Formats: sequence, structure tokens, C-alpha cells
Amino acid sequence: MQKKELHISSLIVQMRAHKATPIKKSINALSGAEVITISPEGKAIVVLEAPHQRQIMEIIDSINALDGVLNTGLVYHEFETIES
Amino acid sequence: MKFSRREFMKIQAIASASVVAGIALPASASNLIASRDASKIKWDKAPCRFCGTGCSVLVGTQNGKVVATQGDPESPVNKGLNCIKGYFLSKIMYGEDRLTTPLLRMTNGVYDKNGDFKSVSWDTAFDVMADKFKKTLRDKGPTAVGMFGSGQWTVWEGYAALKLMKAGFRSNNLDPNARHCMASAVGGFMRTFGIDEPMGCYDDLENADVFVLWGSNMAEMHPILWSRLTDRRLSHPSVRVHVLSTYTHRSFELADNGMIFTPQSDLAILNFIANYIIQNNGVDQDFVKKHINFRKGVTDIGYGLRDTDPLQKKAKNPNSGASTPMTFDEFKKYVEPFDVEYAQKMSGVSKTKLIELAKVYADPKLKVTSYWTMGFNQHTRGVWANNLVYNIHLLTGKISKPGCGPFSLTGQPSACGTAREVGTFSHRLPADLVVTNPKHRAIAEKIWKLPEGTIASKAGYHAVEQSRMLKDGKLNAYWVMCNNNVQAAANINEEVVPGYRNPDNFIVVSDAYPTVTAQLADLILPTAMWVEKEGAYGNAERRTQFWYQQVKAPKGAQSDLWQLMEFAKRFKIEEVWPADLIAKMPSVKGKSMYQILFENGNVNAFDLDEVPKDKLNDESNYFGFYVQKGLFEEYATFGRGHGHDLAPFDNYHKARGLRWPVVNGKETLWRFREGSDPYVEKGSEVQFYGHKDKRAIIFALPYEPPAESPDEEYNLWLCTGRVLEHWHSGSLTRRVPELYKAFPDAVVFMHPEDAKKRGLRRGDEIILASRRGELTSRIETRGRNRPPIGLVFMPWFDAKQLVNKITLDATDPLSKQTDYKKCAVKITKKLS
Repeated sequence: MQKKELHISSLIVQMRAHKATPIKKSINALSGAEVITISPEGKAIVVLEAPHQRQIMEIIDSINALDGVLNTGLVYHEFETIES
Repeated sequence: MKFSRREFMKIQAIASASVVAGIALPASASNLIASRDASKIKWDKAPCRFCGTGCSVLVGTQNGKVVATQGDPESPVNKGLNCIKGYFLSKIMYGEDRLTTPLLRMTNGVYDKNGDFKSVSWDTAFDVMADKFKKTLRDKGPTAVGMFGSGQWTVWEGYAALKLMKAGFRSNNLDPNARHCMASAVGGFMRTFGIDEPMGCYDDLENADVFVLWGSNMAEMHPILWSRLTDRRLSHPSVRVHVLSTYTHRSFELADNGMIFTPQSDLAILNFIANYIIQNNGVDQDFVKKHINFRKGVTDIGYGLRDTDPLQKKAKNPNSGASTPMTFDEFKKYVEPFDVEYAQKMSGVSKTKLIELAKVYADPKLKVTSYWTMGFNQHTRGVWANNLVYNIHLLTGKISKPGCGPFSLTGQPSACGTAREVGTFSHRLPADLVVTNPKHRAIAEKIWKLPEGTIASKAGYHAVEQSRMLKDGKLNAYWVMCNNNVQAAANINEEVVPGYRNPDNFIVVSDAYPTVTAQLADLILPTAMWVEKEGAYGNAERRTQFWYQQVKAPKGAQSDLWQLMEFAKRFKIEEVWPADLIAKMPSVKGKSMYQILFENGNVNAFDLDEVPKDKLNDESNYFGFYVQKGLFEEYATFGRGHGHDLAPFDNYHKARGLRWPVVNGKETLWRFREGSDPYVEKGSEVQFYGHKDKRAIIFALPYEPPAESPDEEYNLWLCTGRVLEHWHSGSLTRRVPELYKAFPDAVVFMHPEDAKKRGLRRGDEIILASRRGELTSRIETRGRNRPPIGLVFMPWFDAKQLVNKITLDATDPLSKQTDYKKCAVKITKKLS
């Protein structure tokens, strides 16, 4: 059996509110990322799930590069080792 | 692992984010962090190891190792949020090349400057080192001994270093790397207000109507403060953000008024705003009449280069900060020529944008907060730039109240707490005291229980001068702690490396990793870091924060504090002090320097049993008393009752930091304002009590050109700085694989037109050259930093591409801080 990791992180993404719809679509299209909610002011909670911390970093980079995204803050991170 | 566990982790992640974001969730929004299986990971607070924001993080330890960090939800600074660097904090201590043994250059088993590094014991290391220091003292006296410290030192490490150098060795050649970072801010505060550090605090972020960034890429360098600023902007649609810089960066994405200006022309823009305020009745006449003096500063002050430099010889008033009184009307006349036409001509910013900016300062209804970082401070007129931004806040009375004020952000976790407040500068003592003032020296000697005349009366060598004096062979025994100055200092080929390799010199570097600086040393001492020791940092808003030791350092590594104190044991006082000084206090006879400095009844006043039973504390256990508490309490004596009051030691272990002055248990949010600052007398509204007459000074200062500008051959400006993923020279962040991979190698950011003109394409290998050196890098024409035509930007974290071979060691003549933002370079394609 091989040991695998599961990383789960949550982010707060601040964005231009009028660009929220396309940003939500783009984030949800990233593998392992899910927009939970976006406030009317343009503050979103995003959860990330990845087999390696490096992927988490890559998803954050992709989110930061989206047009209308102003800032990304990290809140929570936990990982588990799983056997498969 | 079951599906439910994954779901549980997700719910926890979402719930904590919603708490931090202040967004209500339909599902349970309770903070589930508390319900985490407590037996698995032990959590304790600590301020982040990186920038000057001073975020609090919860550090998770398991089996003696830091395994996780998360934003501290109880912290008023970051409110549970973390930036990417903070997110990877747990990894900085576990780089593969962590040093665990002293390394001495040797040939055939004995020290040899040209030998190779060999592992030695701490005993041998200190034997050789003490020998070299003693020989230097005998041959040349205290002025040939020196130390380069850090704004990353804990408060007590800086304080112990200060005592060791200024009282023990009697040398004022102690300076911190913070000299490169905020010396101009210190100079500006002292000159305008007579007391150091910002009057406001981060609460301004939730109160201002307008934010102005003057030479600060807050989005990347202070991301947590930027998230608070962004929150304010997004939730209050009338709030406006103005961003000024010499190139476009991430902060411009939030800017309502983004301005790219020609390097150095910030001086012209600031004077234009002062003029605009006066011309458009924006002056708060009552405030100015009651609280302000006007003075005219001398000009043509040189560029902080060596005295032999032609530019320096040409200056009429080199290094002069002198000034003469003037009236408001004279000041009004002085700034009159700085009209919008002039500001536009100098800066290249459109008149519309300049007027839009000036209006927010002039409009009495708007609360304005100005932020700056290295754009102002790393500037050959850095103190002036600081003075000029104070001018516009003082003219309008927009200062020392919620949402209003000028605020210098710092780059290091304890640039304020350790470098500035403790006073580890070549001219300073704790609590803004200076070595050149006999009364101040007497205060220090009394607190330290030392004979009169112990502290030398002449300021020592500052950072840049230390490098020059090493090269010239006047500084010979040199200890570098907690910084990477060979990578960080300017013009390293000509002015830094020669000093390290000078055969007359013995160079000691204490570090956790083999940095560029360590590799040039003669002796490397392996160092414990961050939560491997008990510590205290002071952030940019005067907040002092403590943490407990949470893990043991790797075997062989010792904290800076241990090193400083233990090294002092190697010296009998007769070996460092002259007989006539000892004769003034015969009780010191025969004692070691350690006994005199650290067993003086103050530092060793608190017993070991005061250290909580469940906490580690390696230094206290070693020396036999609560070292950190004794050092802190002795240090705090300097400032209590003098506007720098710190709370009792134990309070800081309980609180998420407190902002000084802390009087009667209450912290101070806005200094100089009645009702908020206990030092301001009733009925006076505002008192700038740093000056005797309790008034601040508005300085008339002109535009003067930079030390070097592009010409026909070197036809581009070079600006250096940082990127989000890396902190300063990258000693720590480059050891976190995720951060390294995100931004592995430095690149030169360039405008596509400039690239085209030189036949270059994105990704091409190029030679970047100045009059001082050259390096190979690659061109980047896209991405987060977009310079205008005529300017290139390069980050300095990459040890393989030392951009400081290129930069000029011109400094602000008043603050002695280097200008890393302006020099002339050329770029050519590298021929393969």
C-alpha cells in the first residue's frame, strides 16, 4: 500500500464585485478548488483540496492571476496521510 | 481514511474562513479549530518570523517539531489570516542545509583565512574568536571591533548585543541591517517630531477615507495589511486608493488613481501638494498656529559616498541636517514654484492625476492615511521625503487621529522593537537616547551599574561605513548576526567582499543557514531560530509581542542570545577596559565581562522557577536565571515614564501584543492626541512632545537630483526590491520548496518596447551591467511587475544573481540608508 496525502485549505479571496461571476466560474474550473460563497462586497471563501501542498500553491497562483482578483489570504490548512 | 473525515476537514476549513471573513454561512459557523483533537498537535502563539506587519500565528508542534501554522484568530493584526510566506512558516527551520556545528577556516588543524571550513567545537570556536578580538583590542583599541546585527533579532538579543558592544567592548560600531530598511524613517521622525515611530496604528485601515501608497507595493510586501485595506475599499464604495510608484505592480489593481513617476520626482510631487494645500485654503490654520514650527533645511548635502568621491567633494554642505527658523509666509513662498506644471514636468504624471491626489489632502472632510516603505526610505533624500510627507499631514492637521496619519511600514519583524526601540544603531542607546549626549550616556551607565565614562562618546561606524572600514583595514574583529549583508549591501564587489577577505580581518557570521555572507566568513556559528527560543518582536504599529520557546533547536545550534552572553565569559574586564576606568569602580576588578553585564543584579534578578513549568527555555536553564525577563525588565527601565513605556514582562506572554506607550495597563493607539495618549496634557488637544516646545516641525526642502541617472551608455534606471514569495535575501524562503518553486530564479522585469529596441524577447538570457559590475539574468516582459519605458526592476532574493554587484552604495547623507532604487544600467543580449 502506498501512502498518499490529502491537503485541505481554505482561502479568502477579495475581488472586484462586478467580476464575481466570471471569477467564480474560473475558480471552480480549477482542479481541486471550490467557491463556497461570495459576499456582495466581493469577498469569497474558497476551499482547496490537493494531494500535495505544491498543488495548493499552484492553485493560489492561478487564482491570483485572474482578472479582478485583488488579494488572497490563507486561513486554514490541514493534511492527512491516507492509505490507498 | 473515511469519506467523513475528509468532509470534516473541509467543514473545519470553511468554518474558520467564514469566521475570519466575517461572512455568515448557512451551515454551522462555529470555530471548529477549538474542537480539533488536542492530543495530536500542541498549539501556541508566536508572531510571524517575516515582515514588520507582526501577524500572530498559531504554531502547531508535534514530537518536538513544528508541523503546522495557521493565522491566529485572536490576533488584532491579522485576525486569523495568513499570507503565503506565513503559511509556509513551519518549513523554514527544516531546510536540508541547516547548520549544526561551528565551522572554522583551517589548514592542517589551525585557523587559516585561506583554509577550508572544518567542523569545530563551540569551545574551540570561541577560543579562536576571543583570541582575535583580544588581539584587536590590544593592537588597535575598541574602534577596531564591530558588529552587524538585525531587525530580526529578538528584543533581548538586540539588547544583549548593545550591552556587549557599547558597555563591554566600549565600541559603538554596532549597527543593524535595519539601517538598509528604515533609517530614513527614523531620521524623518526624529527631525520632525523629536521622537521615533509612527503616531498612528493599523486601526487607521478601518477608518480612513483615502489611502495613499508612496513607494510601497503593499499588495505583495504587506499582504495582510493590504487585505484589510482592500476590505475597507470594497465595503465602503466612497473610499479611494491612490498608488504611486516608479513601475506598475500588484497594488495598482486596487488603485483608483495609479501614478507612475520618474525616480526621485516624489520630492517634487510632495512639495507640489504642500503648495496646492496652501493655494486652495486647505491649511488647518488653528492647528498650524498651535502645534507647528517652520524651518528651512540646508541643501546640496551630498550622497553619502566616501569623502573622496567626486560627487561628495562637489557638495556644499555634505551630510548636513542643519536648518534655520522661518515663518509660514516664508514657507508659502518657498513652495510656490512647485506648481502642477513643474510637478508634471519632473514626474511625468498627468496634471489631472496630480490634482486628484493633491485634492484629497487639501479637502478638510477627507481622512487620509499615507503609507510608504522602501520607496521613500531607500532614497538619497530619504529623510527629506519623510519630512515632506509629514509636511502635508501637518499643514492639514490630518495626523494622530483615527484614519489620518503618515505611516511608515517596516520590512523586518522587529525593526521597530529591536533596532529602533532598543537602539542597536551606531549612534543610539535605548528609548531614543544617543551616545553623543553626555546626559544620555550617564543614564545608561547608571541603569547598567557601570563606571562613568564607560560608553564612548563618538558615534560608531554605520552599516555602509562598516563595509568601507573593513576594506580599509580599520575594522578588524567583526561579528555578523542574523542577517545576510553580503547579499544585501550595495556595490558588493567594490565595497563589501574586499573587507571580508582582507587578511587583517577576522569575520564571524552567526546564521542558521550557509548564506552568501556565511560562506565569506572565517568562522560560522550555527544559530537557533524563531520558536527554538523565547522571543519578543516589536512591529510597525509599536506593538510588542512575545512568544515562548516551542521546540528545541537542532543539536549544536545555539541562539544569538546564548552566543552573546556566553562569549562575554571569555573576557576578564582587565582585558577590555583601561585601568583608569576600572579604578573608578574597583568592585569590577577581576570579574568577567559576563559578570559585569549580565550578573549585575538586574539581568539575573528573576529566578529560574519563574519560567512556567510546561515551557522550554534553553538559555535560562543554561545560565541559571530567567534571562529573557531580566534583560527585558532592565531594558524597559529606559523608557518607562519617558513616553516609551513598556508593560511588565509577564503581561506580554498573555496578550496578543500591546502598543507602547503602555501606561497603567493601557496601550496607546494614536500618540500625541489628547484622550488617546496619556502623555498629552488635558486641554491641549495635540502635543508633539518629542520636542521641548511640544510642536512638530514643517521643513522647507527642495528637489535635488539622484546620485546617478541614466545616460547615453547606461541608459536604463534599475530599481531593486522584493516579490511576494521571498523575503529579503531568501535565506529562509528559498529553503521552502513550495516558495522556491513558485519563484525560483530572479528575472529582470522590462517594458516590451525596451526589450524590442535591444533585440530581446521574453525569456532571453541577458547581461545586466552598471559601472560597478555585471550579472547574467533573464528578461521578463509580462507578469506582476510592469516597468515603464526606461526602467527595469529586479528582485534581490536570488543568491545566484547578486543584483547588489550592480547597485551604487550612495546613501542618504542624514540617515546613512542606501538608495537601492536608483542607479544607471545597460542591458545587452548574452551571446552564447
